[in-house]
Amino acid sequence: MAELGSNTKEAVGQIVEGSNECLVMREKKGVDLELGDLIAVDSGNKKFITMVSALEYGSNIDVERIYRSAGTELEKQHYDVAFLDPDINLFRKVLTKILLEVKVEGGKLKARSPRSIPEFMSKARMVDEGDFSFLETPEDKITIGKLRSGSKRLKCDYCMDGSKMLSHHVLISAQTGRGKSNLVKVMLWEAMKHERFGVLVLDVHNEYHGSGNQAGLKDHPKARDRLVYYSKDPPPGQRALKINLRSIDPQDIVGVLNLSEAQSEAAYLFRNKFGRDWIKGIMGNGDDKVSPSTLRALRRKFENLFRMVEQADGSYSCNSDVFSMEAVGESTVRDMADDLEKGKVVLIDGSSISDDTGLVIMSAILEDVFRRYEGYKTRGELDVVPQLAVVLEEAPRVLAEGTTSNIFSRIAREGRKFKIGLVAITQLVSVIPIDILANIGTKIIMGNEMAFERQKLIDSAAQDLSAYGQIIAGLDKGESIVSSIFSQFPVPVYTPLFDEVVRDEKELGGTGYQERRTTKFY
Amino acid sequence: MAIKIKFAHMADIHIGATSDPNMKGLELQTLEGAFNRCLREGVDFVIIAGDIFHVNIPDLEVVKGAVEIFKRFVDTGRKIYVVYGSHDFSPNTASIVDIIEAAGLVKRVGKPSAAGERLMPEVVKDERTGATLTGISGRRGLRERDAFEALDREGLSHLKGFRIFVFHTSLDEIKREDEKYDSMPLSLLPDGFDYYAGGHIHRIIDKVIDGKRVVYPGPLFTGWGGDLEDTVAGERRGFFVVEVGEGGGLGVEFIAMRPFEGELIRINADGRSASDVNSELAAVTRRHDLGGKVVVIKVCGELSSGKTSDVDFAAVRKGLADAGAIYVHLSRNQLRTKEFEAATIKGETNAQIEEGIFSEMSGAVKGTNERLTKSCTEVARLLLAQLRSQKLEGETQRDYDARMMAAAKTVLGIAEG
Repeated sequence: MAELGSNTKEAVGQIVEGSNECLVMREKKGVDLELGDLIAVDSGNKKFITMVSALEYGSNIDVERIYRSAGTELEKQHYDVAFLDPDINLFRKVLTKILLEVKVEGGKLKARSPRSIPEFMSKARMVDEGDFSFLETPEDKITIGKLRSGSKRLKCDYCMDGSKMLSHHVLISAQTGRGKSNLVKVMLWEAMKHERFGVLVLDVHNEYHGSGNQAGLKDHPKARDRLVYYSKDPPPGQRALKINLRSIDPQDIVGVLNLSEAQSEAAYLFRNKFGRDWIKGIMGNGDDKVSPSTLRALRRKFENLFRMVEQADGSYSCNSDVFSMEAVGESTVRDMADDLEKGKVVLIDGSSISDDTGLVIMSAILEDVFRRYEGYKTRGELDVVPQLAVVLEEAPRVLAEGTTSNIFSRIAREGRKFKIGLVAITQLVSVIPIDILANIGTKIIMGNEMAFERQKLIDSAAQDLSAYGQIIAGLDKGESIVSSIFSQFPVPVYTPLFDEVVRDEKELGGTGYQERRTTKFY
Repeated sequence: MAIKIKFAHMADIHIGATSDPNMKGLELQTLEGAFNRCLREGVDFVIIAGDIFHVNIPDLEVVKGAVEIFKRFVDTGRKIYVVYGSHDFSPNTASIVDIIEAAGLVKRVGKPSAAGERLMPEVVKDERTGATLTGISGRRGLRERDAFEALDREGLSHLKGFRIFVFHTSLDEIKREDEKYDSMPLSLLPDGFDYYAGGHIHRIIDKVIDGKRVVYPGPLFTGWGGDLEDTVAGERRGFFVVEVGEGGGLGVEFIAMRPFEGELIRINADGRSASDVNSELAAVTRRHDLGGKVVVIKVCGELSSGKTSDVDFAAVRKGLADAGAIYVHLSRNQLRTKEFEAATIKGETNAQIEEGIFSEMSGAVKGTNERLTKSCTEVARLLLAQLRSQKLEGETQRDYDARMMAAAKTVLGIAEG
């Protein structure tokens, strides 16, 4: 991707018509503007930041004559077709949408939503970094990437206030191959720079941690203190994903597996009767209040989920690599919740476990932290604990209509009050209920060619994105539009490749890279 | 199963942990009993996975007793393999473990044997059996984790024979839900060993986790605190005897030691007056079945009236001693009084929170000592500062108690005598 050139004071066009909805400018010959390019229009003591939303042809020549000339040339009847002063008479019309109105106040640039339009015939130019000096760098910044003008990257980071962004939920929407995973990885890398964000991630493709020479979060200079990685097959120093069945509660299962009402009731009944050994109870005992068919169905589901195997004596053993009925993994859920509370990224390798297993584990952890954070809120201590977030891939699985009884949808609806946010990742926004979409404060929209999905995004965005349909469809890998209640305009961003981020920080000697521990062994 | 190797695995003996003469005697008797049992069992060697002693420089009287027991065992041509534990290691001064190793009584395994970024711990081959032993010593605050992270795993993967890894570290995966202590992931233990001889966790664990046979025998003898309560309440204490068959199969048997008869007496003080509780304690002293036993009295709950200091623990201790109890342990941490209701204080730093609590509670302090009544907050702050002073390297419990008592008396303005 080319860096934006330094000759940005040169005019690229001039405003010739339009309205506050859409400005029309004549493009200077050879400039070759693209959809999504950001154009600055200086006008008196103000400046307007606009975005190219459509491109059209224009001419001062009679249309019939143009068609006739094209025919003559195509049919090879005359080879010297030329118009008088073509640079003057033939041109492109560039339709732009005003994003921001900027003016100097107290020696500083201040931006606000547009309430006016530039003076007629104002000159337009490409934006440069200085045009965005009104953007402030928050203390809890999470860098999403570089500001972008069309496909050109500006030398200006776009950062968001991590606490605000995560507490009000984030949606990352894109089709496959548009850079979702890279973006999440970069955001997690950023989150690990602080001790203020506890982020729970079920990494379904095991692509965030990294292994061997493959860069990942393990390469973060603070990884030792701020990253905890759980896997069925952990590298040395990381934890085995072992969950004791005593850590699982009925609500962790009811919200994930497709349990009938009778089965759910039976699960809660056994929980009341056997306490934390309720799963053992279901696999081992009957109960007069539960019909044998309900119990059989429940056992069958548990056999599959927990890899329960019936022994010769009728008892069950747990053959799962993850779940255990023995005295193993009793503190795992609590430890994960503790680490989240300490502002760490807790990464679970979900690549070798089933979706259901992953979601049940996530649910158990989130139920635990939710209870804790409810307590902090009651006691007025919420200010001093880290902001939490859960990264949820294939979010519609647990957020779609009819899945209201699980912890994920509860977080989506109520989490903000308890400082727990959701980072929902999906290709299919349309199946997420509108009330949840409306609750999501930041939408990071990456390339998506499905018009129906785009429209859902546009309809639920924090800003008016009605002019962005085609732009969203044409976003390249790594490019996104960030529409947030915390930004004054839909921000075009390019997220660099994760490997570049790691390399750049190493070259800059980021905090921690020089740290070498000198340890004496005994 | 034809037996090729037989060894004993002990840990967390904590010799010298108790200052009570009766308990000291029991401690050594238990150790002697364990080693005698090892000889009867015909073990080839003994592993002690850390915390042989309670401090790095313990009371020499108990060291003498332990040395005699170890000597009798090694004189039979058998070895004792050890690692440091978090209690008996000091990075600054020599440990008694070093001294008894220099005397040839024990062999510490896993000493760093190569320089460089990777740590290759020394590997010891037991001459009698050909078993291969190595390990990593424990340190306070899980500082041994650095050594585990630096392990030359590749180098260790080439070891031959029956391989034993000795360590003194808690593991994340086997922590109980109610346990909160420093631990490390199982994945930091090197792969490929036949037996992972653990210490540091004070309960019995024998598990195969991700293909690793991880075994903790727990303490051999427990003379203090919560461990003593658990023992008296019925928790088994002892060590493992491990038989290795010709085909490599393992037979692991726990040998339970019963160092004393114990009795746990729980008294619920909830809603009762201090004099009520005293009456019940007095009744305990009149029981005739407590002679010759270690007695743990656990008093908990919130008194309806009177202060916790009104409960006469000294009398019950004396009464039970007169009745012939070997040792009396009083657990009163969970006894509260209404006169000191909980205060909820907010502050930005620990010091501010402490100051706030002291200030809040100062009104409850009564008496004729003006220093206490008028400068209560200041006195409390100074006292807390003194109480934060930790035991010095090599300092015995008795010396530590005496030093703390003297400092507290100075702060409180109480004359000696």
